[in-house]
Amino acid sequence: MLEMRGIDKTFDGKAVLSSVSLALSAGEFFSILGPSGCGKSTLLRILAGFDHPDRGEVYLNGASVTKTPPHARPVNMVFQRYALFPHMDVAENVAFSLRLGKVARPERLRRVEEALALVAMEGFAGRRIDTLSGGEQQRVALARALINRPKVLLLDEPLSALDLKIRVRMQAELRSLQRRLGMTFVFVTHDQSEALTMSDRIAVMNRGRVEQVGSPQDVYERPDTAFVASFLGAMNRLRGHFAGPASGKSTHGWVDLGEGRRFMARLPRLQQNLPIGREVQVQVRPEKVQLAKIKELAPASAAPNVHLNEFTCTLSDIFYRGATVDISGLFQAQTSLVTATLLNADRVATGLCVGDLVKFGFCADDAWILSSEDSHEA
Amino acid sequence: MRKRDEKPRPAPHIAAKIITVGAFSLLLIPLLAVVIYSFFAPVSAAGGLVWRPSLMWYERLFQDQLLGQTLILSLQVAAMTSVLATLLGVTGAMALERAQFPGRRFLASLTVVPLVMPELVMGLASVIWFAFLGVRLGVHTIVMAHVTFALSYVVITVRARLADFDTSLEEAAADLGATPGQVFRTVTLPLIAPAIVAGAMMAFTLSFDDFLISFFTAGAGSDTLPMRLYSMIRFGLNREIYALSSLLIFVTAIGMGVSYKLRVGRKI
Repeated sequence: MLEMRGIDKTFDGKAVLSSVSLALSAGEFFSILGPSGCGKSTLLRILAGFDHPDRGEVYLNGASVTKTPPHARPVNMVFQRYALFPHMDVAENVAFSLRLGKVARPERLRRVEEALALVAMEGFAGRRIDTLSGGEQQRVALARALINRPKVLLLDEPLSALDLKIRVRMQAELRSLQRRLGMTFVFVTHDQSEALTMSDRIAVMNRGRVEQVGSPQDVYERPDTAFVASFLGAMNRLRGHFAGPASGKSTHGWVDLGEGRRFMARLPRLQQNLPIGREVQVQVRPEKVQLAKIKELAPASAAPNVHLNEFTCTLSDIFYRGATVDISGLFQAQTSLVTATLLNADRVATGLCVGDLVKFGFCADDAWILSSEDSHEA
Repeated sequence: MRKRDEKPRPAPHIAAKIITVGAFSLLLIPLLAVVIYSFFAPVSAAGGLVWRPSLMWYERLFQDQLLGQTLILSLQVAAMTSVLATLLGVTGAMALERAQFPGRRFLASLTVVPLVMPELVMGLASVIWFAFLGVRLGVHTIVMAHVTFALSYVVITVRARLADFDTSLEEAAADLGATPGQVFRTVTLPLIAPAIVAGAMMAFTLSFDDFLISFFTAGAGSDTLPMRLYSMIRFGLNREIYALSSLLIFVTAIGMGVSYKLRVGRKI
């Protein structure tokens, strides 16, 4: 229902967005994720109508709104700093669009009450804006943007100014609000865990381009590019050279890590044409790495048809993280570092110490091969 | 309004205190003396003339028809100056702060010229310009000359307010369906109103006080209050002048006080 086609935008000769195309379906919680300066906020401002693309079109329900000014677009926005009007009280802020639309007073009062109830802010109608906490201001901003039931709600890092505790609670509330209203939310954030928790789909952006669009599982577990892989979550990177596809499976390939060691990993769809000998990285999430004291192989290796990459490491660091523990080991003549994230209870059971010789392993399906050439931006 | 948490500051040195008190005394005692003297009048008593508290000079002042006329004229000039300078100043400030056009920075720097230019030069230049254009001197020429310098104060106050204005407020209003005109009326104007009123008050007071520029640009029969004061002094100092000066001090202090309060009082 909301579609962007080939959006280009430059500011002072610098390309901020390059041929961005995205299509959103109705009722979707869609996140645009990327580091600061990746163009995600500009993209949102183009959707709101504050900025205009140099090239490309924005379609809403099939009709182009590229040239429609912000006040005539059936979309509303929640601003990063809320942008509540300081000279109006809570009710006047929420009723702002209704007063412009000449909605009669009784109707206005009813709808303001309804909107405040939606964000659990009943009883705040007469309060001055500067007497509200950040979380309360956030709710008022949300009520103000939702009161006209826009087709699309744009949210520009709306939680980034909140304390961690309130932020986590607001994440859950935003998500349930969106489900209840069945509205399309476009949520801009630089916080990968926020995007993973809340979204139906995520577009990962870098340097003005969309690197990957997909479900949280897609982008986290099957990243298309080195940037996506490194931006979301922690990552082990093992350097080597591409040694060709695995026999019988074009979806997997071999990587030569030297010292006669070869690892098998998945080949993402954008990496299918790698030439043999190309410098590549085997990437695997720390929580997918298993380990066992030497001579006690990981039980997963027993499963048929699953290739387990195994190697022996010297434990170099153990980082306590509360519920989990990160265990790092060195291998390949002490040049490569691999980190495994384990539940803390497991670690205690195994009783590992720095300096121990330990067997690490990960399944070929949990790792992937990415060309080192496009990982410099990671 | 909450006070921002202020750091405790060290107490000033004793010498600094003495110098400060001395400097302010030097500045303010003459003004105070004028005000105090204006409230005393001689009364004949047993031992000759005795000075007693009295409003006699003020009574005389208000009976003086000519003076009444000049007061009304001064108020009219100040009011017109204030209105014109505010209209031009607010639109000018909007243009300088919001619009993008060639020569914007140069124009912005021109707005301070009247503040640094000697008043004598301003007055002289105005009268020469009016003569060149063949404009007859009168009340209108005083107003025009006053607007040229009062304008600067309005532009500077309003621009300062616009500069720290959060433009996302205007975007939010537009996003909620306000047309550009509605955005200005419902959001921009109410939020810069204190600065506009402050600028208007300042323009009013500066015009009401002004002698030099009025002196150059006034025609026959368009004497303002400060001009009347000046001509009274030429016939010798009397206590009526003290009373008149006190009134001028009073009006100025109120105007400037309100203006200051509005400029610093409210933050967005």
